[in-house]
Amino acid sequence: MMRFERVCAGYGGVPCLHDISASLREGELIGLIGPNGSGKSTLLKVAAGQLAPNGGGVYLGEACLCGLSVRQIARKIAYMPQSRAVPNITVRQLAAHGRYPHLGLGRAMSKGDWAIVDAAMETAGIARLADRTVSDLSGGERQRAYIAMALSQHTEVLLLDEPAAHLDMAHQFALMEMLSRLKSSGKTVVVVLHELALALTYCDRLLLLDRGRLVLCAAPKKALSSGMLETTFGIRIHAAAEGGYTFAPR
Amino acid sequence: MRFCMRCCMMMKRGRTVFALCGVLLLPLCLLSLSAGVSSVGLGDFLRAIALGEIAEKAARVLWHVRLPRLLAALLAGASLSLAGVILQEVLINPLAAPSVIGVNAGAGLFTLAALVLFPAFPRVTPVAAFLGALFSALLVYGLARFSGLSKTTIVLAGVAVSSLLGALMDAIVTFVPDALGSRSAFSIGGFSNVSMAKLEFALPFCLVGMTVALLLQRELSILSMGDEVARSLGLRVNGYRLLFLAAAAMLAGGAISFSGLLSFIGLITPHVARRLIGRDTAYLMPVTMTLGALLLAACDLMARTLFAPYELPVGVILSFVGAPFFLRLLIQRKRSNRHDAV
Repeated sequence: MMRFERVCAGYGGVPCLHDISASLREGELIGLIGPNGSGKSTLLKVAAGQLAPNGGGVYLGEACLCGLSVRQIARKIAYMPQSRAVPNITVRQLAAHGRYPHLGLGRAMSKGDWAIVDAAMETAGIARLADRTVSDLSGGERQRAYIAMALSQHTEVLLLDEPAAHLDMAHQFALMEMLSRLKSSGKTVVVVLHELALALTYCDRLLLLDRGRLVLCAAPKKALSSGMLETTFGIRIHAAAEGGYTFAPR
Repeated sequence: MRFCMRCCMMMKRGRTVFALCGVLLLPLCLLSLSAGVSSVGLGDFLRAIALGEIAEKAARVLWHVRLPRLLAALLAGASLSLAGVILQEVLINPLAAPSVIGVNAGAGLFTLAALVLFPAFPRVTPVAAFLGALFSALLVYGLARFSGLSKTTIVLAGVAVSSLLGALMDAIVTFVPDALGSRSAFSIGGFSNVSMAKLEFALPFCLVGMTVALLLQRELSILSMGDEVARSLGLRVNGYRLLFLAAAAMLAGGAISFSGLLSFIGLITPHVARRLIGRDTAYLMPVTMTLGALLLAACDLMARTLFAPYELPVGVILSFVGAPFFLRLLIQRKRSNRHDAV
């Protein structure tokens, strides 16, 4: 589905990612994890076509992202960045922006477009607040409004940079459940996560980054048994017999 | 059910406010045409319309003084307000406005330079004003981008560029004192020297700017969500930003070429419009335009009649209203800074 081939990237000549190769499958929920400054957000930006790699390339099927226009990329990949503005528009209008890459020259929304927007708001659990202004919502509600916009894009790939940040635990679980449902519908979902417990519980595979290098790409259980998570984060992880994980400093 | 009805009413607010502004414009225009220092009144005007007969003096006052002034106020009000809302959305900054981020100063400097260099070619003035406005908008944006693009940086860069360009204007006026009728009148802004010819030269610029803004409202709204989100939605961010800055420069430059450096109208109107229409943002552009026209025409009427036979420059009245409003915004911004991003 999506492939990273020897990707190197950085900002202003300072390299942040070194020689990253990985391939993501259809209908997979991938957790992008790693300590602060390990290059998670940078890799997601490269995957979203927001940052051009210095070397290597990102491929969607057979097509290299470098050969696609921003509009073509937007029809295939939805990306939710870490920091987002709070526009003074309603949730419905925000979600409708997700249809922008699919609109024709007149930029008119068809009934089909509105149906997709309504379905996206329903899936994101924000439909009952559709006519509220985004700036009047709580942090978690704004998060869901933005996810509704990304879903309206109706793409094969969904990239989310720290969607669980600032959410309380119940909302974090609800978010991950929703992402699991999206994956089941055939989307490839890549999500940057700081909460290891969420990554270990919900993701199909984890990509572990350390200082700009991909040090592990494996299913959660395998990642845990390899000991790489503990080494990279400098912590001890204990999987409880009844499910769940406990974390402790070394 | 009740909630739905309330929502429905809220969603129709923009249309209602737009219609109300349009309806209010008519009596204001009639009042503006009939009031003034000269004894020519509404009766003369209505007779001219209905019977086609008018005294020579009345005709002169109406067609050569009051009508150009009214049209100038309407055009400048709509253009500067629209330029303000475009800049606020493109720069994602509620404090942005042509007068705040140096667009006025750039247009003013280039206007002055055109008057000095090509005094025999008045058609050059709006072109120069547009180029000056675009130059300063790009300069301020470039400076702010280079140093971090925070909301405060744009305003500070605008203040610095404005004062630099203002100093250049002063230097030119010192060496060529006759270039402008009056430096202070030009800085404050007003319509006492406006003529149909000046309006005719500026009109194409204003119309192009308005067309771009009204046709590309969705793109402007997407751009106002930040570069990353806009790009992820397939918008060519740099191209559209340049297009919108050019549209704002056309609107502000066109207006400034005949009105002088009117400040605050571009800052105040978008905020008042947003308050009035609430969440019905589809009407933000049309409401801002008509409200700006209404506001400036009303200020001009006050400027002409409050202390008749003396006349205040309309910029003075605008500053009396605008300065406290700007300070209020600054204080509100400081309070709401915490809630800036998700």
